[in-house]
Amino acid sequence: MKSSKIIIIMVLALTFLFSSFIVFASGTQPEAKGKKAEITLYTKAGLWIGFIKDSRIIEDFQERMLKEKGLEVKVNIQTAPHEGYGTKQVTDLAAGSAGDVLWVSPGQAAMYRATDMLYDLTPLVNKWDDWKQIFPSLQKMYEWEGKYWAIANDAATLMIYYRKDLFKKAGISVPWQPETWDDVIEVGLKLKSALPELDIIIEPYYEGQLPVYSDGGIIFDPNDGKWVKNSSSIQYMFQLYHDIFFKYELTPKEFKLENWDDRKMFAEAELPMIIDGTWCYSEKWGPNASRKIEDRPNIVGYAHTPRSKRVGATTIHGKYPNTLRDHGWAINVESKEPELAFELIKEIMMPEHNAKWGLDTAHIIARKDALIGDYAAHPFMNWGTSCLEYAVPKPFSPDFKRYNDALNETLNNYLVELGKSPAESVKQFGKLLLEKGIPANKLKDM
Amino acid sequence: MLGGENRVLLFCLLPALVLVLIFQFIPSVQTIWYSLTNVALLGKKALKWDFLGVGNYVRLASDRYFWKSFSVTMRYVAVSLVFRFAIGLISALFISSKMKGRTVISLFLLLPMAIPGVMHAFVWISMIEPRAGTINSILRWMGLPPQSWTYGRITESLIMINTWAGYVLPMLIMASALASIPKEYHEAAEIYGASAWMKYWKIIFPIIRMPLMFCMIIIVKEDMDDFTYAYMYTGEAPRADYKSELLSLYAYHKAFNYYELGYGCAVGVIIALFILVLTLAQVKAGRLAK
Repeated sequence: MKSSKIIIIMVLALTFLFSSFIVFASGTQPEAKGKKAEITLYTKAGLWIGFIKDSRIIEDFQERMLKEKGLEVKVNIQTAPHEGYGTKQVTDLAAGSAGDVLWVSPGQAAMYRATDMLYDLTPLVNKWDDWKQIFPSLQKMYEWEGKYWAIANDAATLMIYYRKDLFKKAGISVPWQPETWDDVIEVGLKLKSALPELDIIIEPYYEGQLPVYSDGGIIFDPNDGKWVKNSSSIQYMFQLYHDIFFKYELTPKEFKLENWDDRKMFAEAELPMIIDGTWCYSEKWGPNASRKIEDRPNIVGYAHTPRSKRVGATTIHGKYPNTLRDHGWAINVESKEPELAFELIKEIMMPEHNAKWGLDTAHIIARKDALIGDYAAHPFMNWGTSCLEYAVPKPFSPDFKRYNDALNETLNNYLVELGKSPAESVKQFGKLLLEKGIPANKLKDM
Repeated sequence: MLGGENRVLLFCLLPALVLVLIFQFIPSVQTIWYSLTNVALLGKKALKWDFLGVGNYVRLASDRYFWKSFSVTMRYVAVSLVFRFAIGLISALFISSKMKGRTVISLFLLLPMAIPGVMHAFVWISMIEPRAGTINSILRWMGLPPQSWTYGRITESLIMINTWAGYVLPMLIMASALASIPKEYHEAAEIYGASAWMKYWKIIFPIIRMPLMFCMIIIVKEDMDDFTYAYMYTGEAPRADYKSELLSLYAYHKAFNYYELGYGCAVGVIIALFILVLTLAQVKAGRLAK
């Protein structure tokens, strides 16, 4: 009797649990209105989810699809955390479980393109009236051999941030815009002399190849598909870093080798100049940032990255060459609804959404007609948008990672750690490019 | 045909065997298979790969980055073994003793095991920060030169974290071995006037030499395929100097950073072979003990 009571109670409990699961897991089904479709958006967790919800992007997209195409679209959102996002996305792609619309960086997208994982957007882009609104340098960010593989959602360029308070203390007038790297070094020496208590004057590189562009050079020639391992501009780059670290001693080598927290040091007035990206203005030093700088407009100055003295008034990249980075939207080659996926991308990239995203995240807008409202009224964002005129996109090739790894290893291990000369560093760079897997017939001197 | 009792036994073991088959045996066989090919994580080579035989292993033999990782790993394992074992033994002796306050202190000694591995790395970030971190602040206060814990001594930093996190298991193994020694041995040693050093060196340690050896083998096996701390301090791409590139991390970077899944699997197989040799040594030691 006792055991049968127990059995009855267990069966009732299981029935209750099972039926609760059925009720809560099923949700409410929307009333069918049109033909159904389903797509999945794959993006980073965190900022995007809040942004998509606040901007009603999914709801507006669903309404538009119902109205324009009679389609009832279900949009799933698949996320991966910021740390390890690339690895998670690669694993999901390999497993066939990645979404239709993918949030990608140029480096990731280049790898995916080279391994046929992306949908060729060229026919869709050619039919899109708003494509001409996308800044030309951002159109090129995901372009390879005349085809487009992703749409840039936003951009970030490099710039020189400087502490106005420290500059004034050293008797240097602000606002400041260096025309050449010699101007930067001159100011650096003044700061070093006036502020001997500082351990470091300038954080000299975030993307090592910047001085190549400053000198009017290139790292990749799209005409013959070859990477440049030696040129007068590459020699200039190594010489400039050697001068900063060893000739003028504006940066101790421990700074790079030990990964000192440069953004924290800048926030705490321990670092007068830092080369960093547009997003730092808000993400690192803004009102909600962990390293908030009080009275930021009066403390944080910003300037274009300069050119080399020997190129003269301007370069092939413009007066103030800088580098271009950040993310965009691609479509998974296995997507069953690529055109629908592209419609979702168009929705996310509507001018008002692009402007709001740019302002919220201190990223530069991707389209000219997004220079509106609060974004346009924001002095920094407005100025940041002007940097696009001089921005050099990274070559959209999977070999860029190998090139960049070889460059970083040469800079960190060889030039900075061992104090090797620029000439030796150029030789070492060429060796490492081969070791990292770029074939010899894809390398050249200029 | 299986007897009744054996059938029940098999029935009870079946779920676990199925899980071992799905999550351990099949992936292991697949890893070995991939290591003989040039399969990529995604793209063309994910579908149309070539059988290379021992090609990946031949490539490993001349891969200077592999040997860099190998040398970093060997140093990491050897030094970690010494520290984990020594600190584990001292802690085990302490908690086995009759000293006052040992119960409370034992709780603190067990703390590293209670904290998740990822948190260890985060806690130590503030400790080893070169300019304002705890360790360098103490060194400066003592008049000693601060060290480059995040660059020049990154391997030493990983060893420190691993030691701190990893002394607990040896401590527990050795404490249970010490607890298994009959008290008559201690009493006899005291009656015959043996010093504490003599007692432990001549009597206790020889008795528990097998558990001590097991402990060492377990430490080495654990450290051979350590990944968490190295990954937390390195990230998605290898450091330029490879000083934190343990073999397991090298395999991960090859597979997920460069998409060379087959090559990454070959590195994984090398690690597994090391652990297999150690396991066989452990089994042999166990038989000798009997």
